[in-house]
This record gives sequence, structure tokens and C-alpha cells, in this order.
Amino acid sequence: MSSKDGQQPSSPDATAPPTVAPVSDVPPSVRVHHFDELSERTQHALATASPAGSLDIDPATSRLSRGDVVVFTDYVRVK
Amino acid sequence: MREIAIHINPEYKRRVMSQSYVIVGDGIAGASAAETLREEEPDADITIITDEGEPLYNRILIKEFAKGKLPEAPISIHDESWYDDRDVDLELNTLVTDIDPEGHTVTAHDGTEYDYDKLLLAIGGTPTQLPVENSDAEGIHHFWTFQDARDIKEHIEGADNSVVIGAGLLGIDLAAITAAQEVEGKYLMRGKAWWRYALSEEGAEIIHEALRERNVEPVFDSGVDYFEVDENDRVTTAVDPNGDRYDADFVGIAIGLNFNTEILGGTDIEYDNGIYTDEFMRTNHDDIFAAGDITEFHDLILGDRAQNGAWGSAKEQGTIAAKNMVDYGSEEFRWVSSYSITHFDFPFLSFGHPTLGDDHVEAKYSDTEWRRLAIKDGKIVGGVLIGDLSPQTKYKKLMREQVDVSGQKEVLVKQDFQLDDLEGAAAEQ
Repeated sequence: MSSKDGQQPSSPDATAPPTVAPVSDVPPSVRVHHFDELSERTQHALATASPAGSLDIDPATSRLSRGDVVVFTDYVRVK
Repeated sequence: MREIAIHINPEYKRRVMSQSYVIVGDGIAGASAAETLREEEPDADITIITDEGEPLYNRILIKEFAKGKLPEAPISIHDESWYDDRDVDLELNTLVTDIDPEGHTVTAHDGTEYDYDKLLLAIGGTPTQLPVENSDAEGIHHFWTFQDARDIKEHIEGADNSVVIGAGLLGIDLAAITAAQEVEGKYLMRGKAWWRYALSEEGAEIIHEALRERNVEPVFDSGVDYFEVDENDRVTTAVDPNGDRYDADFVGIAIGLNFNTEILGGTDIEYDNGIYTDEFMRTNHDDIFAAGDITEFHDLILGDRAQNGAWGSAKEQGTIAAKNMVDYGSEEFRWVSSYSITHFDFPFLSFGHPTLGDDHVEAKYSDTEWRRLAIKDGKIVGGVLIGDLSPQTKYKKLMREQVDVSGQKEVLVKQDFQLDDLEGAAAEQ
């Protein structure tokens, strides 16, 4: 992951649906989940969102937060 | 002096007196139990005893660390302050060697006794040793703990060639680690397919091909007869039962787990491969519970005893066990587990009990897309999905609700299967 990948968007819109994007490097400070830690619903959203695109989850109830990395067939970061 | 027996009503004690909970094991089952106990019983004494030297870490991510793709920090889940903040006593590097169910105590290797009112055994397993000559040589690794992963990473980064043994879910992690570290390897399997009890040869071939693309060559009808070592007792070669020789300065073995039931010897806690529990995670002792992959629990969906080592299942079992330690019968364990493999370009997910059943149906849709469902008494009891995970929720729902799908096997494996496609009672789901 480039340094740019490690940064939050400069003006994040908390109401916008989360998206995922592949990353290739993970800094130590990032929270990382394996796919198996996620709920069935979040797994489904992630599997159908790959490799990049919007993620159909409710950030309020999902374990995932913006900035988290998920280990799936790629490493993807929630943005 | 006369002794006076005082009987304290258990419910009174639970409400008024501080309960003492001891948890043996700080994996995800033990840690989730501690978290739930603290939520349910703010004043209880809670102690976690573990023989590992570090608090809870993410066991399903350590393979990514060994691959060299993740740093150490994100693998750790709890640091010691997590326990302090919750007033949970954490005893690291402490091996429980004895349990006294009547005296309500456990004893550690150093003789320390811990009293409990309720005990949770989340003691997991230990990798099975390969009973062949030189299997303890330098350079031969098992893969279970974070420390194992550190040792593997350190060694594989300087290795020239590798051999992996164990055609199951842990073995393929080792094979994927060698591939990610770009070390040429042989993957020795006893049968003609990887995870042959859950996949047909056609399904397994998708995995085989993905391994070949990563310079790991599956070798079938093989295994290890013995290892050869050099003058420093370092492994140099694996020799299989056919006499074929495979040079390797790195060997990974994952042929299964021995569950840590030895401390149950001398007690009357019922166990076989694992500890028997009911659907509330309670053993045959009222005050002793078990959770995680050590349990042979009463599976309400399967209608039989089952054992499962998946992360989500262990976490849920820890939570359920804790609730029932506080208030027995309050919540039952009813769960369809799943386990995924994320090493390849295509996803792989198994759910339920894919190696069980008296019938099955499978279908292949492309070079990287395949499904198999295991069926018992007309009901789905497990399955494997390769390439397309979208039907997962539908199959799990049918399994969870024990829907009779007799006579509809071909419908189930339609590529775009929908629950509405089912006929009869199954269609009402």
C-alpha cells in the first residue's frame, strides 16, 4: 500500500456508503480482519463488492470501520 | 468441636456473593467468555489461565504474518491492559495440570491452586506429531500458535525448497505460506485429492491448479515414510512410502490436532476426542463448561455430537458458555459455522459439516467455480463453495432451519439458485 492508501480521505463524508479498494501493504497501526470474522451479511457484501466498489453494509452495526483492512482474496481497505 | 453445615442457596449466592470464574485458555473462546462474564457479572472474580506467553491474538491471521504480508501488530487482539481494564486476572505461561471437580479447584504446573465456583475449559488442541523417523529434526515445523508462525516466517524466508504434509485446512495454509514466500515446494498427500473427505477430485483440482500456478506441486498417493537429516540434525529430504525423495530444507506438517484432554484424566468429566457438552456448553458437571474446538457439543441442527474449530464458532461458544455459567439454560448454541480460504484469486468457503452426510450433490460451473452440498436425512448439513460465495446465505438458512430438500438436489446446485426455486415445504422458507 502506498502512503496515500494509508490515509483517510482529506474530507471524508461519513454519510457516503463505504467502498473497498485493494491494498498491497498494511501498516502496523491498521485494524485487520480476516473474512471469517465478519457476519454473513458483511461477507456477502464484500464478496459481491470485490475487487472494488461500494460496500452494502451498515457501518453502525458492522464490525467494519472505515480504514479497516479485510483479508479476502485480496487485501481490501474500507474507505 | 461440632461442625455445622451451612447450605447457601445457589441463587442467593449468585445474587449476593461474588462468584469466582476460572477460564482455562485465552484463545477466542476463552477471551469471549471472559468478556461476556464481565458484562453479565460486574462484581465477579474472573481469572484466565493460559500456557501461552502472550494474550489473545488472531489465530486466523497468523498465516498472513508467516506469508510476510502482515506485520505483527494487527495480529494481536488484546494487550494486557485489556484484562486490567476489565479486572480480569490473566495468568500467562501457566499450564493447568490437574482439575478437581469435587473440590472446585484447578492446579497449575507450579503447584498454584485456583478455586472456582464455575470453570470453563477452552483448552484447544496441540498439533499431531508425525510418527516417523526424524520428525523432530531442525527445520520441521508445525503450525498452530503465533510463535509457530514467527518461527516459520524466520525459516522460510531463507529456505530453498519445501515439503508440506497434511491435505487439510491447516496444511494448505502451510503450502500457501511457502508459495507466498516464493519457495518452490512439494505438497505430499495421502490420497488423490486435497481435503478428499469434503471435495471430489474435480473440485479439489481447482485448488491443485492454483497451487501449481504458485510453484507448489501436489504429489498424490504419497506422504512421508521418514526424513533424512544432515550432521547438524537439520532436515534435508523427505522420503515417501513409494521411495520417492523430495529435498527440502523447510518442512511443514499439519496432519491434525490432538485435543488437550490429558488433564481430564483422573476426573469423571466425560470426553472422547473432545469434551462432551450439551447445547448450553455444560459438561456432565454442573459447574464445569467447555468451549471452542475442545468441545464435542450437542449440535441441535445436526442432531448429534459435533466438533468444530472455526473462529466464529469458538467465539460464539465462549459467549454462550459464559451466559449459561451465569444463568444455566439461558441461551443455547445453535450455529452454522463457516471457514474460508483466502490464498487464491478465487474465494473458497466451507460451512457446516461438509465431511458428513449420507448423500451429496455437486456441480462445476467453470475452471474456478464449483459447489458441493453434503446432505443427511434429506437435509443440508454442510457444503463447500469455490469461486462464488453468493449462495452461502441461502444454503445456511436451509441448513439452520433443517429444511427437507429431498428430491431437489439438482435444483440446489443451479448456478443462480434461489430459495423460490424449491418446491413443496422447502419453498416456504
